[in-house]
Amino acid sequence: MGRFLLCGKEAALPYEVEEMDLRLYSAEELACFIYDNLSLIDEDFMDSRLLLFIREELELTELSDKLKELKLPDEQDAALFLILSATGYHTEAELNQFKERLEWRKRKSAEERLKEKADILFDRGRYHTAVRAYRELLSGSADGRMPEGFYEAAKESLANACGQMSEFGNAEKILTELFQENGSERVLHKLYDTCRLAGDPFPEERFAKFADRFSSWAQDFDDRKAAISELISEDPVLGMFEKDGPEAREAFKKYTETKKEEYRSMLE
Amino acid sequence: MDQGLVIGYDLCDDHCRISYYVDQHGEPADLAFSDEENPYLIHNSICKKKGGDTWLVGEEAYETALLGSGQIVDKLLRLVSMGGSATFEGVSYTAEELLFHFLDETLKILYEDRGTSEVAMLVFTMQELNTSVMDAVIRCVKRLGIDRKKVRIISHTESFLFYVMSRPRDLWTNISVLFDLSDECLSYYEMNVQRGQQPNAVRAYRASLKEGFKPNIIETEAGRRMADNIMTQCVERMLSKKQISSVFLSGRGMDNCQRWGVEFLKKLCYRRRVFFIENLFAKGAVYEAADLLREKTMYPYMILCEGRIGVVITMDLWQGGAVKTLRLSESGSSWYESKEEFDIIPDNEPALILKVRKAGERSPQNVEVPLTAFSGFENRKTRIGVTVQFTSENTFEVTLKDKGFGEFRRATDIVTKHEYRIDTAVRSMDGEA
Repeated sequence: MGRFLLCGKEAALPYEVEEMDLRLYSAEELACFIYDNLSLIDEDFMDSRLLLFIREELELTELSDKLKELKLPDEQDAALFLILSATGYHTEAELNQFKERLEWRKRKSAEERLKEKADILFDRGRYHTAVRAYRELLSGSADGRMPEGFYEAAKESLANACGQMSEFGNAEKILTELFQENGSERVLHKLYDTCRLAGDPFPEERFAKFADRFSSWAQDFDDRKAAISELISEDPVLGMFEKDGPEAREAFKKYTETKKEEYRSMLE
Repeated sequence: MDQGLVIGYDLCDDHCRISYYVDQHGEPADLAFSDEENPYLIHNSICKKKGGDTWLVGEEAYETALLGSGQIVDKLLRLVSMGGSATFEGVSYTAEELLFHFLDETLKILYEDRGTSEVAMLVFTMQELNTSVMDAVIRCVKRLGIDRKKVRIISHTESFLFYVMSRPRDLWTNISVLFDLSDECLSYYEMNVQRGQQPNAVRAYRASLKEGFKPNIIETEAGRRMADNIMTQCVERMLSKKQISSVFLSGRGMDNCQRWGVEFLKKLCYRRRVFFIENLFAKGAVYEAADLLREKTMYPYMILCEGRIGVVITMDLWQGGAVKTLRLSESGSSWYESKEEFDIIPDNEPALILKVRKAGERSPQNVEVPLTAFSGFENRKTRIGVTVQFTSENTFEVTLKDKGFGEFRRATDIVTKHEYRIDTAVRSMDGEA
C-alpha cells in the first residue's frame, strides 16, 4: 500500500557532503543519503555543521534537541537512526533493515570500513576522495592487523584511482612497489598498460623474467586502443573532437543543425 | 485592536458608499461625500481634468465634465470585467488604472475627513464576486500602499449577514430578510441560523427579483403606484408562511419608501419589525473588518453564503512516521483567500486522494488527482509542489509541479492543473453523471 509524505522545509543553504560533491536541501534528502550511503559515513559525520543545518536550515528543533542529548561520536548509530525515523522517509521495514545494517557495520573493523568506503567512492567516480581514503588506509598498514592480501588489494585500487585521474606517474610508482611485494604477473601487466597510457618507456630489463609476455601485452594494448578509437570516431559527439580545422567546424555545424531540428519538432 | 481606520467600502457599479468605525464598540459612521440630498452616495465614475493630471470623483467630476473641462467614465467595475479602456486626450487608460484613481480619490476623502490615512482593515463589499474585478481591486489597493493582509473582498450577502449578526439576538432568532433596491436591480436576501452542527451555521442567500424597477420611477404618481404594487407582491411572494424575526430595507430607492410604498409597508410591517438602514452593506463590511482584527471572533458561527466555501477538503499524509490529516479548506472560509501550498513525495501512489466533505454532511467523498505525468520517475525521488486553490465558491483547482529531488534528480518543468466543481467532484464518486 502506498502513501504520501508531507515534506519539510527546503533549506536555503544546503548541507554539503564534500566527499561526494553533493548538496542536500531537505530532511528527506538527508535521510535518503544516510540510508543509501551508510558505508560512506565516518565517525565525524554527525558534526556541529550537520547539527546546525538540521536546526537552522531545516528548522527541525525537536530532532536537533534529541540529537544534542546524545554522546557523539560514540552514539552516532543512534543519531543516524533518529534522523531516519524522524523524517519518516523510510518505511518501518526499511528502518528495521537499517538497524540490522548498523549492527553489521559495528562488527567490521575500522580498516574494513575504510576500504569499503574507498571502494564505493571509486565505483562512483569520486577518484580524488577515493585516493585520499586509500592513502589513509595504507598509512596504517604497518600494524599488519588485516589479513593477507587486504592491503595489496587496497594498493592496487589506489593505483587504479590514480590512473583514472591520469596521475600515471603515481600509478606506476605504486604498481612497481606492489609488484616488488607480491611478484604478481597481473600487477606487472597493469604496470605495462599504465606505462603505455602515459607514453612512458616500460623498463623491460627490470622484469626480464616475464619477457615472453611483453609482445602479447603490446598486441593486446594496441588492439584495445584501436577498438576504442573506432568507437570514438563513430560517436557523433566524441568523434567531433577527433577532427581538426575545417573538418571539425563542419562536424560541429552538422551536429548543431541536427539538435535544432530535434528541438523544433519537439515544439510542434 | 490595531490603530488605524476600520473601513467598509461598498463598491458597486452605480454608486459606492463608505462606512467606518469611529468607536469600536458603537455603530459605524457613514462617510458623507457631499451636501446633496443623499450625501452618503458617490457615483461610480472618474473624471480626468483636461490639460493636467488631476482626477475627480463625485459632484466635482460631473460639473467638470459638464463644463467641458474634463472627460468622465462611469461603471468602472463593468469596464474592468470586460478588460476595457478609455482614452483621455489621446492617452489610453486601462479600466484598472481608472479604478485605481477612483479608489484613490474616494479614500482620500475619507482620510481627510478622519485626519489619518492609516488603515487597520479595509473590507470591500460587492454585489457580485467577479474574479477579474476582485484581482484588479487587490492590485489597486496594493498600489495605494495598503498591506494586502489588511484587505478583504466579500459579497453583499456576507455584508448583510454580518450586519444582522451585529444586531440584538432577538432580531435574528428566526429568519432575517432584506430588500435592497438599486439602479441595477431589486434584490432579496435571506439569512437564518442552522442549529445542530458544531459550530452552528448561519446561512444566507441572495435572489435577484425579476420585478425589479428603477428607483427614479417614483418621481411620478403612476410610477409610485407601480412601485408600491410591485413591492407588495414581493412581500406576499417572498415572506408568506415564513417566521420572520426582522426585515431590513436598503438602497437608493428605499430611503423614502414611506412616500411611495404605503400598501407595501402596511403589508410588510404587519407583525414584523422593519428597519431602513442607510449604507447597510458598507456597515456590514465594517463589522466584519472589526471582527478580523480581533484575536477571537465575536461570531462563532460557520458562515455559509456567496463568497464562502461550503466544503472541508482534507488529505491524509505521512509526517515523521505517522499519519496526519492536512486541512486544505475550511467550511465557511472565503474562497478568494483560500489557498494552500505544500510539498509531498509520493511513495507508490498513482494519484492524490482529496477528501471533500460538504458542510452538514458526515461522510466525505474521495476526489482523485492523477499523478500520471510523474509516473516515469524513480519512486520516492519526486518532490511535488501542490497548490489547492479555489477559483470560485464551487470550483477548486489543484496544481502539481515537479520539484525533482535535490541533486538526486533535477526538477523538470512538468506542471499539471486539475479543476473540480464541488457538486460534480462530490457526485462523481457516487457514480452519477
